[in-house]
Amino acid sequence: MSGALSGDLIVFDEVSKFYGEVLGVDRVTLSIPPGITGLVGPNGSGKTTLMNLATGLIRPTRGGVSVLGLPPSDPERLFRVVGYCTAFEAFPPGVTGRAFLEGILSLRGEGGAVARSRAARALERVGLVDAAGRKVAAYSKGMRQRLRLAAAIAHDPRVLLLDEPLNGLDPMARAEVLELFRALAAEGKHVVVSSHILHEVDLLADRVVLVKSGYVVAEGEAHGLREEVAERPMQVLVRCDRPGFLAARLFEEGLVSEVGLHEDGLGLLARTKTPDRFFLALNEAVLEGGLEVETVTPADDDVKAVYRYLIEGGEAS
Amino acid sequence: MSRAVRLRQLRAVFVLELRRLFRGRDGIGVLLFAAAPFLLTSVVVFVRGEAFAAGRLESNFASLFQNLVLQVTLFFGCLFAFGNLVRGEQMAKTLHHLLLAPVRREVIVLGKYLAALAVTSGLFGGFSALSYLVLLSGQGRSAALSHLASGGAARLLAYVLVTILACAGYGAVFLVLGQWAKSPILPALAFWGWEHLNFLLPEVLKRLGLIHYLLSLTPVTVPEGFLAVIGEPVPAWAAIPAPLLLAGALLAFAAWKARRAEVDYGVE
Repeated sequence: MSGALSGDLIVFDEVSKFYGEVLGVDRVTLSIPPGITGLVGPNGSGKTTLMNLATGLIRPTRGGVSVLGLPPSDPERLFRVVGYCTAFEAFPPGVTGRAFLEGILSLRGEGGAVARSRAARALERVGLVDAAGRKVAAYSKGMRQRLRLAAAIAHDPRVLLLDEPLNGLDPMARAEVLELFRALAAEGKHVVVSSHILHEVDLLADRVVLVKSGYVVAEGEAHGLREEVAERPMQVLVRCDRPGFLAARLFEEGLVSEVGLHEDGLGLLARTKTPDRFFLALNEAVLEGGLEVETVTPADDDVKAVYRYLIEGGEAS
Repeated sequence: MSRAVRLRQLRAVFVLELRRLFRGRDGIGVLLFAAAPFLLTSVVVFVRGEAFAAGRLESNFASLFQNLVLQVTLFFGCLFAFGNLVRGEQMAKTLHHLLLAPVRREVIVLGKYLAALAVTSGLFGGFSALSYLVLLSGQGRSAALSHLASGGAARLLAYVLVTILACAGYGAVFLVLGQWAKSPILPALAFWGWEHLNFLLPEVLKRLGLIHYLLSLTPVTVPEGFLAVIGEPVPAWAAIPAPLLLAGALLAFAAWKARRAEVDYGVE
């Protein structure tokens, strides 16, 4: 694809990646325009491989990748326009959130004042200002996730690649981050979000790319996929201090067809056909009831079932 | 990208690497290796309780520097510091933070190398100088100053120069080993054996060992034992650039390797 044509796209052209004998992705051809694109597939399907290929962390065995016309082998130019929030959890030892961010930004060569200013703005955007002076080692999983996100957006990139960015976020933070993604997309940026939870991305994305076993099995406008899965029930796992109260509230509003309480009394598994309304009601119940929520995780890990439903016409589990 | 921006990026990598070295276990390892000869010297001086004669002082320090510092503590201290520059970050799964910045990988490699060189040169050079001064301390202030003025200071500077050259040369070797080998320990031990047995080698092969050039620069010669094959020392005009040329060549290789390196910690 010529530079002129690919200048506003993320392009994968017949890309294959093998790790020795093991297939990462095979013959992937994609053109991703601005807006929010969801990259969905089960763990090990090749989502992270595609993102790593786009950012040059790994090189394709065959084919070519370009991001807004730039090759991933040119980090000096590429990372002026690309921000990548990886799924890698580690941070350098002993750093505070602010020091980490300022250190990363100092690598851009723009000077200390600019780095400090960009870091402060990014910390504010991800809601991490109060914790910025604390050691990252003492951060919760959600705070670390937000710090990674801050590092990805701090330089105001045109392309944002986000690998499982909602992992570990509590409902409030999840809502804030989703809003942030929408705002970034509204600015004309490319926002590519990977997830192994279809519903998670479905709420957000303009386009969805389904990946399975290293192959792109479907891609298209999210609207079409959304209609197809509208009737498919979704399971959500909630760990909180008063699951009984929450279950009663959700039943009362008719938003769940089935709820199982955990034996330890600190969680529940709910089944809903209206996830949008379910999450809204969940947030309201948390606020009104003053619940201590540890985690909210869509439990529909079985994306294969979704694939059967979407692609092979089978029954969803 | 302008040269000024690249220099600021180099400085940023240098500073980040300094922080990483001082916060992590690698820095502690290097510090312990560097301080060991100084602690040993201090204990010997304290236990002995009397000053060394001037000639004996020089030969004792030369022996300590050549047999312990150059061939053991500096060697393995550099293995700690340089061997983990890239490999350590790969193992800690933090390397991507650097590689996702708009910085050429050559700049990252050079910045990391310079930071480790600054730390090892400072620590090994500093503690070597302290060891020398501890040996000298028993002679009293005026005798010590007189010793320094009559060539002692120049010899001390020569030792520090040899230390810096050793860190530059060994550091570059270990940087490459850390990139190339999954565990650099075994190849490093093989290299140590080669360097350690250099005194047994014929003249032609001696020149393939870094230690030969370093020992040629030490101001006091120490007998290498009855099995040693005596060779001509390399003149300073060749012995000084040799470790630097080796370091330069290995750094170029390390940069090439870094450009081709992939980061995959096994996620997915």
